[in-house]
Amino acid sequence: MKQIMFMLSFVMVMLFALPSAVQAQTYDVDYKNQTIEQITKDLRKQTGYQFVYKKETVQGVAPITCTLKNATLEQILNRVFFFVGLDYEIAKGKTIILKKADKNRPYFKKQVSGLVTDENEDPLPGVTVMVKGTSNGVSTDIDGAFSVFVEGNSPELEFSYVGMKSKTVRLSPKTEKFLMVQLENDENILDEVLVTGYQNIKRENATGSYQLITSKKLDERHTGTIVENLEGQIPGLMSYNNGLNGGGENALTIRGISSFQAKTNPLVVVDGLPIEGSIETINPYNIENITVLKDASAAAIYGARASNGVIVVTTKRAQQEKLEVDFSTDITISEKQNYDNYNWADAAQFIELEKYNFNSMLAHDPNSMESLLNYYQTYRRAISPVSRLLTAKYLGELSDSELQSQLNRLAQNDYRKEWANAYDRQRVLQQYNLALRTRGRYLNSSIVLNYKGDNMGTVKEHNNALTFSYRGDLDATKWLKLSFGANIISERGKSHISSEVSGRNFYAPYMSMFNADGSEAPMEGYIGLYEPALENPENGLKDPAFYPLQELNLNFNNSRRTNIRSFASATATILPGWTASVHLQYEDIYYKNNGYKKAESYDMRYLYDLYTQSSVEMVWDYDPVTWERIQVPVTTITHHIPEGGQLTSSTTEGAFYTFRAQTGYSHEFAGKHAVEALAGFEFRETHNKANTSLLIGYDEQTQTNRTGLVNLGELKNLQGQASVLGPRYSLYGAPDSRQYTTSDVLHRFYSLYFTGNYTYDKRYSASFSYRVDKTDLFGADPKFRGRPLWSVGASWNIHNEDFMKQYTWIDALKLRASYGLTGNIDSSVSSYLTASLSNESIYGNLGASLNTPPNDQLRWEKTASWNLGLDFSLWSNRLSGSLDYYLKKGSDLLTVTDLDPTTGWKQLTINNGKMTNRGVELQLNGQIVKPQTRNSLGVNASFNIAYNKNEVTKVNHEAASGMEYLYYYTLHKGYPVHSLFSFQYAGLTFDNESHMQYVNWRDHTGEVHTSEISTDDFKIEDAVYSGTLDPKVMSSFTPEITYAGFSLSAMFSYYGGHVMRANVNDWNSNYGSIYGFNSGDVPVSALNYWTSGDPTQYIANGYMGLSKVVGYLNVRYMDTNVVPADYLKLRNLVLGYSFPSNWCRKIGMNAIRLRIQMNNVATWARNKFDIDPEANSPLNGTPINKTPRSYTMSLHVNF
Amino acid sequence: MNNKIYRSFVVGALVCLCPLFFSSCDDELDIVPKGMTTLETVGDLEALLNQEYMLISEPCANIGLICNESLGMFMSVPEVLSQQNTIDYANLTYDEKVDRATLTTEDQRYEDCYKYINYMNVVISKIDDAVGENTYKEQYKAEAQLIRAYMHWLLVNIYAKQYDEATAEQEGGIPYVDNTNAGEEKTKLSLAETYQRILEDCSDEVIAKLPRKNSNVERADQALGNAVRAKVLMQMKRYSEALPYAQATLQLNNAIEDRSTIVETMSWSLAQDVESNLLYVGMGIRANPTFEALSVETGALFEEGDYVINYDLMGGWDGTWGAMDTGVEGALEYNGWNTRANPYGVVTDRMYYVAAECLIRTGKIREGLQMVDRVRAKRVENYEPFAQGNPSEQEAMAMLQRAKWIECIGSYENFFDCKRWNTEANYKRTITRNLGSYGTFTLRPESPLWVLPFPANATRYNPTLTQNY
Repeated sequence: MKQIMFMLSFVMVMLFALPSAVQAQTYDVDYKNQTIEQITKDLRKQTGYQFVYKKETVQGVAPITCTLKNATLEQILNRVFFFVGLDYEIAKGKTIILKKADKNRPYFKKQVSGLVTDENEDPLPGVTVMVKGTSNGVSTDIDGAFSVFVEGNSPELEFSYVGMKSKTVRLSPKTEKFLMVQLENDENILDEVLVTGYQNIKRENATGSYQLITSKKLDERHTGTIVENLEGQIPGLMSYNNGLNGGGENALTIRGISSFQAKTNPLVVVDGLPIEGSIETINPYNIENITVLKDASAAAIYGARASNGVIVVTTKRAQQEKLEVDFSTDITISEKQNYDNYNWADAAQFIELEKYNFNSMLAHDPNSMESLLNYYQTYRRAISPVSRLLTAKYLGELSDSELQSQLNRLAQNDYRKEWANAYDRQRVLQQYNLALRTRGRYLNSSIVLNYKGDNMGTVKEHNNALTFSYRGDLDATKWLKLSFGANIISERGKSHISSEVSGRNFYAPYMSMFNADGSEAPMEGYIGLYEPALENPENGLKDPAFYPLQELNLNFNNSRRTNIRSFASATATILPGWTASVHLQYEDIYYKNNGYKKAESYDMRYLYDLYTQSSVEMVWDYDPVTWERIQVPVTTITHHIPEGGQLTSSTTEGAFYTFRAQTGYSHEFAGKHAVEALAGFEFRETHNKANTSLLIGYDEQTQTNRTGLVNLGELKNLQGQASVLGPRYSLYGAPDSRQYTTSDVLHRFYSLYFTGNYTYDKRYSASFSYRVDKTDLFGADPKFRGRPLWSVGASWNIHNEDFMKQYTWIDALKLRASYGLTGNIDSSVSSYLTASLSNESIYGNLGASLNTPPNDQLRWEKTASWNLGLDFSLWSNRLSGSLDYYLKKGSDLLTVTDLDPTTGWKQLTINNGKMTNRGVELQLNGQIVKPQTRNSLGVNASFNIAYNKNEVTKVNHEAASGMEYLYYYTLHKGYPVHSLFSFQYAGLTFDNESHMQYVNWRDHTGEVHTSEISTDDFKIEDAVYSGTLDPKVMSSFTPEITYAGFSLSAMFSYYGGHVMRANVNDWNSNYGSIYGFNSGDVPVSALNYWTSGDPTQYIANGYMGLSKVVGYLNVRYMDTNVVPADYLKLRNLVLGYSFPSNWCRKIGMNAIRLRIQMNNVATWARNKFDIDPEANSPLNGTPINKTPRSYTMSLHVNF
Repeated sequence: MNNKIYRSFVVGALVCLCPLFFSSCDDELDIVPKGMTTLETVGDLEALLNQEYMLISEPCANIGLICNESLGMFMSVPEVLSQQNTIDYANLTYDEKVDRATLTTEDQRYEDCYKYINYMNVVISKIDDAVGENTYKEQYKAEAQLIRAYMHWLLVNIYAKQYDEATAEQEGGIPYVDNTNAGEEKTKLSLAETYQRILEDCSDEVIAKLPRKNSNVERADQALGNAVRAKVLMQMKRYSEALPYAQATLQLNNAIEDRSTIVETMSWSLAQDVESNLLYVGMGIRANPTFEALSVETGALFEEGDYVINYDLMGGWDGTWGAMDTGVEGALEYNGWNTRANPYGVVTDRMYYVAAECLIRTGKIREGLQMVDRVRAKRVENYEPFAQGNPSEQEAMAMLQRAKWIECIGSYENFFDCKRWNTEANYKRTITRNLGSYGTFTLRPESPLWVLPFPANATRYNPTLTQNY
């Protein structure tokens, strides 16, 4: 927290301590039908200037109406007197002379200066101001001001700016010297420039399905990651954690999943070149825009890697000729997890459970009771503390009242809470970004520094990253442009090495870390604290107790990541319209993790004690009395693992090269034919290396280790033998040779591509692209190394047709259609017969195992996509959007095919699967109330919805059993790729005689069975389809209200049409055992079985759970636990404020924005258990941590 | 202007060269992945012979259960009895009506045996053209042939009927796979043809090419070669022919595991690479017979002075665990982790029994029993020698059978022996399994249960794989 306060105050100082630049004084005027006399009087009062004029000059001048805020005197004078035909002159001594303008002057010749602003009256730098019909022009400066010499008869000035409607102003002698020009936003979607990474094309000419997000849109809210920021921005782009791919970038998909086993997330391209590092390595503050390429016409240029769509990121560049400084900071504070969705039983409920379990076992199960008593004598550690007390009471070692008082004391404890107090803390994520950009005559430079600090929400952990990036664009000569840059990320992280015993739920909640006097209590870990071997000093054992608070400071992973991306490119203009360029990119990704377990940590002490053995040998000695030779037993204690800690190191290195050479041609013929074409060549090489190693007996302070003293082969042979601690402690968990590994993977790719676009009369466009990719992956047969992938597309700008001119309310209407093939690859397969080498485990000789059967037919996966789309913009852009329908047919998908195992191969990966995705996407942007000025109300909203239906249409592998049919990874023909299949639950039955409980299921004929569904009794046809894990519908709604610099916006996202398993914990029977309830993750619902006394209603647990329930293993597959996973989240609520620009300028700034944001505000979920699908593992049906509510405070300053 | 033309010429030429460059790039794509091999050298092919052989499924889970050596591993008898349409039910209650072929969707052991056969075929097919010294090519090929023979022999005894000369021509065997073509159908041969091919792969000629003795439990030597041929011939009931090979094995390696040490160590400890292992072929869990629950009948066969049962206190044969897991009182279960008895491999200790039986069956009864005694001496404290008096062949066999049964716990051997003896009038036996309150079940010598079904994931793609029962 201190750190944040420091950073905040630093920011504040930066803000206010900067010298306020001296600016021309400004005034507010508000005249309604006032005379010249009144106005001059008012101005004199405000400004102190005297006005001098002849009376006849102002005679007959019409009354004046004019409102100006924060205007300079000059601006006011221009505005006020221009309209009434007066001219003025500022003389010395604060005097202004008014005179009649010369109406008859026919020829215009003067220096015109002025100010260009946007709708919010913020100055617009970089606006092109041209004298129409000439090549004479200038750009506005940083303050939006310009000055240009104009000459001619009725000359016109043309103001144009990207994203704004162009404006033409006719100059007449009446025109004052100072022009105030306001440009309006031009939201005509067809003017957007789409960045494909290979070329920039105007949406008007594009035939594919592109979607553009601008930095403005990305800036509307702050999110921790880019992927989170993309949520709901683009219909069809989704990152949903379905329990299989994790979340975030790994779960990112465009238009559904299009491969069974190859990558399913989109290709990420930065400034034209695909990157190997994740999308999260891009500094989110430095993004100018993101273009998402969805259909084949858009993405086919990326060929064999485009099946999953492409995300093209363009970074920011300087726009202005002066130094522009951007500073942003975002601080996000998350609420602490309260874990209430786990519904864990508390201490009192735990004790209740223990008692029920013990008493019932005592009454019904003498065998188990005997086993418990046996353990009580020989291996008490396995028995939970409360069960020990109950047993002691049963054996008469404890009186009734003693038991009661002990239990009462335990019921007061709350281990989970103590744990949370020790380990959890409020998560604070801070991000600071400083960008310096300048555009010079030759060189355009950007330097960006970014710092990210995350305290991970856990005590003593952090993850901090510093990013530096530079980008330079150099106009070397008139025909040669160079650009170059680097992006360097240095990230350091520290986290606890997690171990079972230091987990939140290792101990039952009725335990406590503290003694009654508040001191830290020794807790029993894997070794019983009572073991007699511990008492014997000759054994040389270390303290076997676990101390949670001490442990907190001991074992850590320290990680370090360096990610360097450097690039250079050159573009030459050979002839007008013909360019050639080369691009080179090198990425270097280095990751190192050191996991250091200190000697005094629990893990090391435990391993040391466990791997201690004693042996008795008879040796010859002399009897001290008789001096006869006799044999005496000598006990030898062996510590197989040396004293000290352990250091596990792992490093991964990646080196990735991309080289591209291309040539492009762009020309317009005869005013109607526009042609663009591009051809090129690309080479990529990816090289990944990794290694892990381990130092045993390591000590950080002395920098020594005892690895050389350890014989790993011997340790392995000891595995399973008994420790000195007793026969129940078998040696297990020692370091082994598998902790020393290396790997080295190299791949190369070559590609040739061509793309062309032809537009006729701004009405009809056609495009074509073609690409061949070759790679080493497929080995043997060159025939299959390259596969041509291509696309065609056409579009029709209907609004440019003559017959549409009458419909003035239609600004744009464009119809698009495309078809194309894209590819995908899984680098784990090969067409060669290959064998992996490793050391076999008996002698350590080099052994080989065959990988996959040779398959010389191996080739790229192929996805054929159809896309039909409509872009529209209506009522002066009040409503705009696009509608798309697509059909994606994946074929030759790599899939596992069964072989007759007699061949020696059970399965073969071949290009034989098929899958279809079809869907509709709608995006709407509405400007419901358009603000006229900064101080008027504006309301806008955007809405989008995407529907996707996925179906596996061909698969070769047949599930071998009903059980396999239920597995999530089994492909089911005719169903979505991530289908959930279940068995039909048919109630519980209880056999009073054997005390066995059966989970019943119903087969397809309706007959009820009591067997385990993992047996052959359960057939494929008995499985029922429960739905898909992937949302079919994703929708988002983002309303925004703006007023007087304030903006209030919200983001709702909706995921629907899919299902999840839920509530499975209530059906687990593996809580507790005959030895009681040891671990803390038992839900309170476990009590139901005991309190209800009805074994046909609730599943048993405790001593019954493991041995007396048939079917407990697979309760997660019960159809009754599958529920709809639809939910709606108010993801964030953002209140922002932009300070008025003139106010900012007064203190030397261009813009200051503040923002307060609340994240994950509210959730509506559609399921009977009222479970938030984001806090539930959809595959297992068990709770996971909730997405916490968080608050973000942001500041953005530009000067 | 000249400058422009020059520029366009240079860039244009470069652009035109790109496709040429592209086509020359193909060589750059021939990358041999590191950590892998395309098996073109003698050394890499040798690496294929270095295998810690492993057939995932435990013998006691099915074949040991059928011959009533065991009650499986973690098998709860009441639970199995509650479901009548399962393989376990058929094997436990000897119910011949259960449709085992349909229920056997997959069979890990079947897959693993053919997997190793394929490994051997890769060696055999590639070794001649492999880069490297020629010295070892013949030896490696012979090693591969021998392992190929052994794996097929295991398969034929599990998935086909017992070999009987009279019927072997008509009875079905298994596919004998001798090439690496995965696309070709692997045709099932007759039982006679299968054995013919096995014998060819462990012929005298092949054995002669093996190294004499290598003390490597993964690699074939002449001791193993002779042992395999002895086992094959004995299983064909050609006892007199088998005998010299068994004796040749013991001449090369006569190691016997000494269990008397358990008296001191209190733990039966047996490593994978002990001298008496000629070939180690493991199973799913490394320790064996760990977690195997013996049938009550097997438990009764231990001799009084058995070192393991009397002195192994760390793992031991334990009745409490046995009863808890199986639900059957008197079922012993082994819980030790130091023992790696060789479930599917070849062991010299058991070769003594092969030699012994061949001797007994060829009239050298006393010599045979002496062979058995040599092993028993290291198994039973104060053992009473069998080789006393003048027992008949059948009496001698009865003694051998009881001792060998205990010797071979956890392996395939008892099942194979039962099958063989069941085709011999003097030794065929109906097995009776007494499960106390759960009932008593019998298995007749001719029962189809003695032949395991081919798994459905093989028969589905290979129409020649008709079931052999």
